[in-house]
Amino acid sequence: MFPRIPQYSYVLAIHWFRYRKIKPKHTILIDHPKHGLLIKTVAFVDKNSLVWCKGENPSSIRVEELGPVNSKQIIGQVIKIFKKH
Amino acid sequence: MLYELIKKLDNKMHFSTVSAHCDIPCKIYDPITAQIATLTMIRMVDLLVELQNKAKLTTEEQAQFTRLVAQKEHHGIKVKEEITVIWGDFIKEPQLIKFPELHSLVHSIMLEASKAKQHINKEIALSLLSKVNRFAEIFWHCKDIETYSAQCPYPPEQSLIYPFLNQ
Repeated sequence: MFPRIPQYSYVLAIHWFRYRKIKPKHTILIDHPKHGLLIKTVAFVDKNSLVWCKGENPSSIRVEELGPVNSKQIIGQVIKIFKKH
Repeated sequence: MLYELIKKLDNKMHFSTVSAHCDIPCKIYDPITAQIATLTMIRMVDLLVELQNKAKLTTEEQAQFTRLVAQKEHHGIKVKEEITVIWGDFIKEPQLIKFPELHSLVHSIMLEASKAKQHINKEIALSLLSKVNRFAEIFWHCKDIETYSAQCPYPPEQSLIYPFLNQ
């Protein structure tokens, strides 16, 4: 099983995501206080507008381990992935 | 082509790097978890066969039967998961060039693990172990670590490939 975003891929992300609504299945870049700069898929957005993310692979950090992120921690939304091959 | 263009830009502009797949990445890979999970499957088969040979099972034994089947299932999934993580995360082009059998070996492990889950059959479980052992052998050789085969000192007392670490 290969990850959806293979190693050494480039991603094109937009910063103006704040004008768009973050929805489940969006791929976003987050600056996590514990894990650093991560690329994650939105699992769900709770009623407090906190974003809960899941990994790109079953072995990734689970949504409950990662915890919620707020809009200030979200750097951008990925709109295009450029894979090596 | 577009990728190469972005790469050239990256060399000049140094884009930020994000962790995508393994999150950390921790670089901790070891096929021993898959090997031990396979041994567990073999052990479960042995214990299930013991029960299978009884004419009638007590309630206790029926409960034990269910637990053994559940553990065999669980460890079958574990074998698949552990092998796919190493295959997807650790194995890259240089290893594939060195060991072209890797893709077909991993695929055959997936099939054999499913078969071992579906049946109470020691032959199938042993065949799975031989494939997982081969995968372990390749894994350690990829890291330039010699391996040796030895019988594990606990049931089901089968041969395992171990890394020779005191070099």
